[in-house]
Amino acid sequence: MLTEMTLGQFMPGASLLHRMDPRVKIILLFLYVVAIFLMDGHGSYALMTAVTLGLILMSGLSVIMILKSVRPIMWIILFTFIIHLFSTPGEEIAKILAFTMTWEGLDRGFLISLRLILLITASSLLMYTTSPLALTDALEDILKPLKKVGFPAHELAMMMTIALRFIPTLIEETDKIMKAQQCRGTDFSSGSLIRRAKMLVPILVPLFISAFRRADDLAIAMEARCYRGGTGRTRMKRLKVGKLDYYCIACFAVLLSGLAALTYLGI
Amino acid sequence: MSINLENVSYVYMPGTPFERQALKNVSLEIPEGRITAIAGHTGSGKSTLIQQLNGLLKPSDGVVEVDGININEDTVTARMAKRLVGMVFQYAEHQLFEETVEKDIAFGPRNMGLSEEEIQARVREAMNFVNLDYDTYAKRSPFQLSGGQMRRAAIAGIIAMKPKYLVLDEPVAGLDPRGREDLLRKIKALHDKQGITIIFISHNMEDIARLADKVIIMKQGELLLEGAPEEVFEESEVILSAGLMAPKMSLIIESLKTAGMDIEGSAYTIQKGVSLIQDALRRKEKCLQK
Ligand SMILES: Nc1ncnc2c1ncn2[C@@H]1O[C@H](COP(=O)(O)OP(=O)(O)OP(=O)(O)O)[C@@H](O)[C@H]1O
Ligand SMILES: [Mg+2]
Repeated sequence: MLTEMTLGQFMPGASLLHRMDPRVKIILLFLYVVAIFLMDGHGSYALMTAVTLGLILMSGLSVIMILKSVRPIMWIILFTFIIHLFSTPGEEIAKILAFTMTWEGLDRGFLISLRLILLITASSLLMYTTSPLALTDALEDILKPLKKVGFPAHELAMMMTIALRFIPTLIEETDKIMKAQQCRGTDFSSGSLIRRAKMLVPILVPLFISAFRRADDLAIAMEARCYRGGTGRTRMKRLKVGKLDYYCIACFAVLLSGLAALTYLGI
Repeated sequence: MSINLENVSYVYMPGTPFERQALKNVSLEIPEGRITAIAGHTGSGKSTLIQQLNGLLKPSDGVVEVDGININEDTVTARMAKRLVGMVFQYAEHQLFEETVEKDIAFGPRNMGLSEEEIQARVREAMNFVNLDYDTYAKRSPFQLSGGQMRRAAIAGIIAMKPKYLVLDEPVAGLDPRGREDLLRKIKALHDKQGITIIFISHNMEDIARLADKVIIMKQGELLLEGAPEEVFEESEVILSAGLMAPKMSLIIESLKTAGMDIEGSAYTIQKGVSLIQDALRRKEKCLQK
């Protein structure tokens, strides 16, 4: 049931992508996303699609699973596609009522949809290959320079770590509570909208109570271990940029220049 | 009539790196009108097993039948059959949500579509049964009760639905000795007085020895032993291999036997054990007198 959900969940592995320094991964992903936004022309799209597919294959994860991460925004993609299909001026394919489909529209719609899909798959690749802890550690590190202007980087990262840590726990808890209420005759799958909304009460109330209890316990446990915020804290696992990362950065630089060349040439 | 499992297997999260087979080819029978206990090391699949019994989890493979009806078919009779099985989860008190104890207990019966009078009667009866005084507790918030009282209120919520089979997952976990004793006695009474078939999970072999008519021992998702307590507890070695201990009394009797004491039969409850030892001593005395 709920626990079988895999949305944005870390999948352990030992691929190159898994072993990269998370900070490098985040920054490269950021640049990758910017590049996807800026690029234009069929050649660039083909290159980026090939690279993204290559990365997925390299990660050792199932292609289908990664593609599934597109599902939540499938409707947005479809909507965008249709808007472009009908609103781009150009050579006519067919006419439906007052709207005209054009070849140019088909082309644009396809490219824009592809762009969205590339964005989502690239980001989910980061989520799938980086443990949440590594992710927040990396974010804290990246945001560290902002501490000077009073930005609470450590606190934010700690909050995120805790939130991420408790998502699976709460999903499990929800699953348990849903099952328990199912045993008492709640039926989540039928009835009117209002009836179904009412059925949420027996789930949300116990869930909130348990979440508060957990928060309380956690706060006490943290205090008992003398947690006092980020200042002066050292780490057991320090992030380190290694040879592998420099190698990836180099590859990425080559990719970017390739893209720039393609865009410049207008391919 | 009974609950039957045939070659039931269950895999959590199939097709992901977290895939885990929690049940392997389990076939067993849970007879009606008995108390069946399920024991096993932590992670041996007990909770997974009982969730098969009312269709909360659908077996990856195999068939679950309640009173001869395959409950995982999509038919009205299958749905009715599932309703025969009431389930009390581990830490059942975590499911309470209503403003008052009374309303919370009435939640299940109300979902069954019973009349208001019937619901009232059932709530009173159920509260009475688990030793929660109606006048004192009915209008209280369930969150103002003690842990043990909350647990009993939650159990009352299931009892009020009058299931034919009642499944309890570690009903006494986390209760104090007196609370355990009370609750176990209530469960026994539920069986003796109302004829409800009980299935419960426990780590405590003494409790199992005292209550159960049938014992099921699980090990790593497989059925290790199944049978009457006296048969199962004979196999203390096998039980040990599952990471459990046979009841202390049966271990004592066994070691007395190996030490040369002339004991006939076996015992797993204290009373029976004591009488066996007394018999043996008496016989020995007679021998000596001769
Ligand atoms: N929701 C789940 N998702 C994935 N794996 C699970 C899930 N629930 C249980 N498991 C795994 O299935 C196996 C059996 O779990 P189960 O809860 O049935 O054990 P149990 O015998 O009830 O243990 P305990 O005595 O600790 O309650 C365990 O190895 C557990 O890790
Ligand atoms: Mg369990």
